[in-house]
Amino acid sequence: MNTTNSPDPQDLPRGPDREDPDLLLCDYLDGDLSRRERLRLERRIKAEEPLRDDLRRYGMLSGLIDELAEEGVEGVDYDLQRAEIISAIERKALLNPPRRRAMILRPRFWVTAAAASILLAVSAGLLVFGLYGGPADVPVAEMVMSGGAPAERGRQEISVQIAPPDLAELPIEMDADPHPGEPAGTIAVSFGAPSAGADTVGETMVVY
Amino acid sequence: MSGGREAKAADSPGVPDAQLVRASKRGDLTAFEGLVERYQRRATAVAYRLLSNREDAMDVVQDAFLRAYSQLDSLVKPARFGAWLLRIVSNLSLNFRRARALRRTDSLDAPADDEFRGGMSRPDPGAVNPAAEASASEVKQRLAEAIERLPNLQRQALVLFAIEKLPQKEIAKMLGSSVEAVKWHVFAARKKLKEQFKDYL
Repeated sequence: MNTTNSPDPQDLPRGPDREDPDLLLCDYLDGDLSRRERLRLERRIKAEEPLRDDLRRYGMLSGLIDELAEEGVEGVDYDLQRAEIISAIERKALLNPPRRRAMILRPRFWVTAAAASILLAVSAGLLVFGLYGGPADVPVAEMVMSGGAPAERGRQEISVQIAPPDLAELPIEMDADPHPGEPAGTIAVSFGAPSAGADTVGETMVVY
Repeated sequence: MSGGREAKAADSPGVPDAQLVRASKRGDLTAFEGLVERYQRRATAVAYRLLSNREDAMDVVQDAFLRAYSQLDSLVKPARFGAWLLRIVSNLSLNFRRARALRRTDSLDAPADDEFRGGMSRPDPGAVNPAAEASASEVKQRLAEAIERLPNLQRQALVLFAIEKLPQKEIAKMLGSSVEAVKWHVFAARKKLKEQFKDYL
């Protein structure tokens, strides 16, 4: 509620009205007017007494507000306040030690992971293409389908003869075609080094 | 507080905020103490002006520095620590006011705060009786009360601009509004105060 008939600032239109004398006076005191605006306002102030009164009031109000800056906080022991703040931080740190960021969230993790991936890829490339001269040079294992009658429940045996005698890790090519007349079922894959004139099987692994 | 820390904190005046913030992020509490020393007065003044209660202001300032320390990682521009801190102080003060007002409304014999009266203002400094003789200190006291009764944004803008002398651009960032809006709130507050204190000025 105002004691005067002047409009409540709350009711004033939103946004600055450059012609509002009150706004011009505040801008004048804040030094926010252009030279042209300032000179024009000063001419008006000289000519209009109400404007002079309002300028004086705004000036006094600014002075009073300035004086309020230190009111109420004089005598505060800032050294004590600072010590209390630091102590509180130390206590908090002791009670709740800072949680380390999850490894996966740290940028360093991703840089390391990327570097490791590149290193792994390069190493694998060197291993395959350098040591063995590339996949084309790897001898393909000979695969022989086992003879004889199929086992119960239509088990199909596949014997794989590893061509190199050193049992090196080689790719295994399996012929998935079943024996004629055999139902599809369990596939047994056997590994073993070939021996003279026989399909010798050294180890057998059953793959379901 | 150790003597060593006091000596180091005293060395911080020439060190840029950004450097102190970076050191604080690494866990250097002495660096953060330098920041506290640099901004505690301004933070206390802002909190007091927004809360009009010294004890409340001291609590809010301590809470603000604790939050600032724990959230330093979220400060994108370390050089702007001061504005960021005052924004925390300002927001915490506002929250404190609201909580305080709620506590008052819970009390049957305490008057409700303006903010919980549907935005209606209290009667004019009521207190401000044009016919009465008032000393300068009384006028200042009434002015402080009138500032406290201003709407939140007007009060914050006026306190930060006219009392703390912060640039409007800075205040706009602190309050998350435009410079024009800050300018408007400061102006509206001044105009209202000028009208209320017309017979004293």
